[in-house]
Amino acid sequence: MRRATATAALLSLLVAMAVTAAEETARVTEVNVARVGELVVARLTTEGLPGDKLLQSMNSGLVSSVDLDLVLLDDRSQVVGGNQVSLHLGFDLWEEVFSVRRDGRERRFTSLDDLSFYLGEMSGVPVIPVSRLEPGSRYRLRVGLQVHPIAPAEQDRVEDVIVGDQRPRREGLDEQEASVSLGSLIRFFYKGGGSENEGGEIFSGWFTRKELPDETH
Amino acid sequence: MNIPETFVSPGLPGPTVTFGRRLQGLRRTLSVCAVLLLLAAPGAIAQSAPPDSLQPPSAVRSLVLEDIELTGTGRTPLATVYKYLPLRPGQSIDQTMLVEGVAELRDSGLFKELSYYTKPGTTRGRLILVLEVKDHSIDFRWAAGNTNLDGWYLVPVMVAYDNPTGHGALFDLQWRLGFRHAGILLNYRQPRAGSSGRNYWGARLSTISTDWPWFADGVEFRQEVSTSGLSTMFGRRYGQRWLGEIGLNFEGVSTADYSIANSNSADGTITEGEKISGSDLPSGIEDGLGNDVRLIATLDIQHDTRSKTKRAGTPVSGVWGRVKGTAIAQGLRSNVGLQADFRGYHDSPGGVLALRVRGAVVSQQAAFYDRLYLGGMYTVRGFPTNSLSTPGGDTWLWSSSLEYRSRILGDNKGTKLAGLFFVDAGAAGQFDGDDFGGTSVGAGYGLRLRIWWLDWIGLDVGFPLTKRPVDQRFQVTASIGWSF
Repeated sequence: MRRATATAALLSLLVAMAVTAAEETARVTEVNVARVGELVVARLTTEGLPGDKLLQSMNSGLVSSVDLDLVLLDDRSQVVGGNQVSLHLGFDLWEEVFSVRRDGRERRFTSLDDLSFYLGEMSGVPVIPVSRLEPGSRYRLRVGLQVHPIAPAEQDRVEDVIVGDQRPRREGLDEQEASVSLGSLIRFFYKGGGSENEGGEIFSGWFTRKELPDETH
Repeated sequence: MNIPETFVSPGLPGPTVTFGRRLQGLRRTLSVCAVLLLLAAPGAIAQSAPPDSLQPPSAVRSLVLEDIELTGTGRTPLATVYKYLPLRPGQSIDQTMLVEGVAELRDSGLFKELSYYTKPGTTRGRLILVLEVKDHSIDFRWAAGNTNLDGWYLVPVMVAYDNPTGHGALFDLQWRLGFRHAGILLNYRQPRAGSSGRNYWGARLSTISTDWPWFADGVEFRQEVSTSGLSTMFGRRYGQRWLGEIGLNFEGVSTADYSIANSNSADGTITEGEKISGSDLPSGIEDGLGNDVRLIATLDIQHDTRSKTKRAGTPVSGVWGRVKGTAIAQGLRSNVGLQADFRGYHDSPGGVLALRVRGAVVSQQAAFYDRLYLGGMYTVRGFPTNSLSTPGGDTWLWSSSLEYRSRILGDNKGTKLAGLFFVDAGAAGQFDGDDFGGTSVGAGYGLRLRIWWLDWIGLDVGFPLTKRPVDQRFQVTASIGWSF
């Protein structure tokens, strides 16, 4: 009982700390690219992770997620390739250990500071094989970040662009109708496909294949 | 920063400290698992979580939903939310149940925006679901649709106000403009009424004009039919699979006293745009002309066992069936009708097989606009709409469609582009007539594309395999959604 009380107090403290320290939106503040073997990788500096809502959800025993959308662009802004990386964040209520799972591998942290430090500096995030880069061409990396306090099921990861925009249909009617809000339609085209990365998007500096620094593990 | 795969901060209990207690727990868990496995081995294997599933750590220790909090709305009470959200305080819960439950609420469109998170409850293992919502405001919308009777239409302007009082009602005023169709409609719908949310009801005030297509000697004609009135319906869901609905419609109906040719005749005697009237009209059309007031009552029973799992945008199993009766009080044109519609789906190598069988009858007194017509998207593709029936319509009809649907392109939401092959067959005639033209058959292929707000749009190319009423080697039809 004493242990449970202490745990509750600790969790409350953690949440309170998070509320005061991380009310701001989670975002990527810096992107650097490097080379690990035959792979272009990114090193990301972030702010606001895990954040209040993620932490509260994790502390209630559920899994949160942070989605990274990495897109490599050439100097004509054409997409060369990219990767989508999802980090699943959990907190074991009974073991009192934080965990981060990425690409099937799990890392565990017994303190919020360690978790925050890890999420604040993510290195070795795979982007694309080096072989996809043309010698002499210039590239830059665009990174978007999206936070889900409750990690969605895999098939729902790309949610409807406009939540609630589809009006419910009646089953069995002899007519089918679909409608869209004009405001949402305008926003969709204005945003160019409805990308809704929470913390906006951030670009790395320009680089060529030759300029990629080697990143050591 | 390089962090080892398993990193434990110093100064806090590490794995070795709790090893003994874990071993005891492990023994207990293994014993329970062994008993459960013996009791329900096949189910247990089928339901075992994949290695990368989203279950929280130590999923064997159950979580309990302690409470649900709703923020951001000034008008919607939790009681309304519970009609759409299949979660209740006090129940055991896991991540999948929570995600699916909130997805159901989101899909209902009750709120304009919905996000959610959880926070710890009063004790370990209990949690509180926090729903952050934004209510709808008056919304200007654009819409497109199609109906069995009237074909395609656009709604250039729609004013919608959903959930205006916090009880989940849907309200809209729309102006329709279509291929053969124009109208103004005022709709009110309550999708979940009553304390259980099992009931629904709605009302529609409308004035609609339709160009009714009929065919004679290979020429297509259009007959204008206008209706104005008030329709109401009340329905109830019985369990997950059954639904019963009654409808009452009071309307005025009027027809133009002429039809307009929509194509040229082969011998040049009729040209497109030409009006025909009076005794030049077929008797079936002429008998239905004039103005009338009528009362329509309907009884509709539906059964649905379709799987939620989809392949190529189609349920992989299950059936949907309906029986609908109609009684129309309209003086000498009073009539009754009955239709049955059955749709079945079966998972098949590389795709899904879908079957539709439909049959309908209507009494002889029915005016042409209440009769049955064969040909077109929803009966036999490869033939123009209504072209396989006599001008005044038929009193009995059956049709069936068999489709093989397969995914062509996909994304992480499922199928993006699907292809299909179809064979349609059907026949129609009159109980007291002798002009039965035999069974008509059409076959062809189609594409369905899922786009972000229209859901599925499609294009089918049908080829007539039996006698053609018009000189046309193939027929292209466009649709919103699937043909069935």
